[in-house]
Amino acid sequence: MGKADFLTPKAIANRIKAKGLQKLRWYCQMCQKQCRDENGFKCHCMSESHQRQLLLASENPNQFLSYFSDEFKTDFLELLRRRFGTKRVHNNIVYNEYISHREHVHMNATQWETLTDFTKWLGREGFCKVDETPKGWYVQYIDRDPETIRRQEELERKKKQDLDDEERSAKFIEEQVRRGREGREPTEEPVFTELQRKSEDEKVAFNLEIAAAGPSKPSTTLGPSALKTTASVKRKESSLSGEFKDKKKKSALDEIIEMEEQKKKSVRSDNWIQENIVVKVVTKKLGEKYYKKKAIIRELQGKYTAVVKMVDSGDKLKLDQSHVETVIPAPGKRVLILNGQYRGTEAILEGINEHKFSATLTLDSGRMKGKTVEGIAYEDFSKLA
Amino acid sequence: MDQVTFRSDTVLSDVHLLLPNTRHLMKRLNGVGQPVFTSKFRILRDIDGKDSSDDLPVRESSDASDVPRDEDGDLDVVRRPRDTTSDRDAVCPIILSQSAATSSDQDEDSDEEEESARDIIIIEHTMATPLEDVGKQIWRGAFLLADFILAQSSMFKGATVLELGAGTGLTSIVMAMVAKTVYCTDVGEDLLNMCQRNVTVNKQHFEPQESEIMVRQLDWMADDFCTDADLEFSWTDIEVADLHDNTTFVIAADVCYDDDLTDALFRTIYRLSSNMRKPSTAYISIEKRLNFTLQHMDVSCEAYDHFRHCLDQLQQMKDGKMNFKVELVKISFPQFFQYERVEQLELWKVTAERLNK
Repeated sequence: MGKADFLTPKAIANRIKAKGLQKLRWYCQMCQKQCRDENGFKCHCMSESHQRQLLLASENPNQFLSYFSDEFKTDFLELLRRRFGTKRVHNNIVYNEYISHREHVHMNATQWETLTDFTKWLGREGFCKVDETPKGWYVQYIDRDPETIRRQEELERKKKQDLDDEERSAKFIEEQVRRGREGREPTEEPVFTELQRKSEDEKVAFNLEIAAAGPSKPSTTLGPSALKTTASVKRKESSLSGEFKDKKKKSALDEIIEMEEQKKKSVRSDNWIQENIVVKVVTKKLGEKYYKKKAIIRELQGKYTAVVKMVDSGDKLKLDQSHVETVIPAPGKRVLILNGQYRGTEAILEGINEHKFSATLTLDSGRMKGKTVEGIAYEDFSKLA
Repeated sequence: MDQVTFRSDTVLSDVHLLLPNTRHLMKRLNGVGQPVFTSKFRILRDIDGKDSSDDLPVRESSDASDVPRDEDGDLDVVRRPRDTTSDRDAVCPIILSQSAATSSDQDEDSDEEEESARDIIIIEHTMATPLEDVGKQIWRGAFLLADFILAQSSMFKGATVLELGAGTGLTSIVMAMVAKTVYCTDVGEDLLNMCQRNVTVNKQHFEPQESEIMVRQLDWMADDFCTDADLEFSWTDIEVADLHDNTTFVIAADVCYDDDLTDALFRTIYRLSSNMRKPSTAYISIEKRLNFTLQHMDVSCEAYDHFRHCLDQLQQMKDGKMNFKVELVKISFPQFFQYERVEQLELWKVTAERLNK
């Protein structure tokens, strides 16, 4: 008769007392009942409903413990992920936000006795990066969503594209250098023209002599000679400035050319044999049996000596570098670059240029993977075994 | 007889073991009933690079589909002519190991025999023999010594050479291509007969150079030359005098396989060096045949150890008459015969000088 009426003084008094958090030690997770003091908790433990729950739990104690632990971990990590993301945060702050929800799984029902134990467990299991400071334990969520991984891959691709842009700019600069070289040629022509005009200057001097010889017409000859003198002065100035520019251009171009030549020279070496490549024996000193046969280099003894194994017969020979030559596979096969700028790089043969004794390769390893290079000589790469 | 027959008391050379499928021609039985076979060995001359200067047409197209291919599917393209100005001391090509598939080379030899008989040596030999008849087989040590002779032909030119333990006579035949007079010596009537036949069959190799091979019997156990005129391979006084006056080289190929014979060999070398007028040099090739022995409880070669012991004794001898210098020849000369030049093969040089009193 009106016992559960929420406006009765008793109901109001009950709600006032239940407001806020109570002590964790007096909470019974199995019955989901919060007691307010020691006496209440003791009475609850002796009550019939609690005893019944205890009987159920005693049949399978691990099940209850693991269930509550999983619930706690899931809710805690969900809060950590949504509220704090991958930022580094104190574990107590996260816990306080977690327990502000009245219906949360209380920690005394889980396998972890303290929040520190739980934090260490998160670090061991790999859910978070955890580190201890004098202020306490900090956690940082490790995001392993597939979408996050995909986003990271896109970032890497973007970086690669930036590198490609750098290569394009390098090519553009090279083209400018070529134009600069081409621009050198027209500067030669005005030199000849100026030389021809220099001979005209002598005529001007000759005219001056005529003027001196003919004093009867001084007013007529003074005008044109002054104009010619002014024009010759202008031409001299322009020629001087031209020479100055030429010097600047030549020095810059020559420096670049010298640097490139030095790079090319330093890259090439005398010995080219490497292990695990296919070579062809081109010496007849061991008879016709091994001449023009293929072998695989098994071992290197020094810079120029190799132990090879014949492909068909399996014989082992010790040969010098001058007794073998490289093998060019069919297009699409893998080769190893043995000399030059890309020494040690694996590549795929794209095509050959018989007229120039060279080939076109696509690099397949290293920093410049995917790049196509042309003009590699036959002697600078060989088939991979 | 295609299958190799083994018995508990016989041994077979690796040279014959690597040719199991070759059709050996059994010619006859020798005096003691052993089957005699014939093998051909080609000398690998240093062919010049002029043969490879073919002017093949270079195609303009860079499309790889038109380029001819070999059996592996690789491209067989025309190469840029190689500059042969190699300043380095190139390593000579050497066969380290051979498989049993080398029988195809022998078939080609029979076709090319008429064209280039100049480079083929025909040797009669036996197959598996007891230990006292191992001289009737061909061993790798003989090939190694033959390689050395052909590589250092200028040193042996016009010389008088004595070979000890010649066996089938392969090394003497190769030496006769270079030297002037070769005394081919061994012991045993049937072995010397076989050796004489080999010398006669391969006369074409050294007769144009007016060289001479004389097959003689020389027993290391005896203390003097056999000058009995009734025997077929006895020495004449003129030959003994020529041997002592003109001999400058003594060669022996793979003869150290028994300790008593090794002792007798070194006694013979000492006695001959003492009697020779000119300083003489001995070249001895040996192959270490490593086995596990119960005596040492280890992998070892007792014959080789005894050989080294005799060399050391010879070097440290101080009798006031002779001085011997022993050194190991570095095996870096080119290979002229097709055989496995294994690392157990060694070549030793013993230089004898007479001390003036």
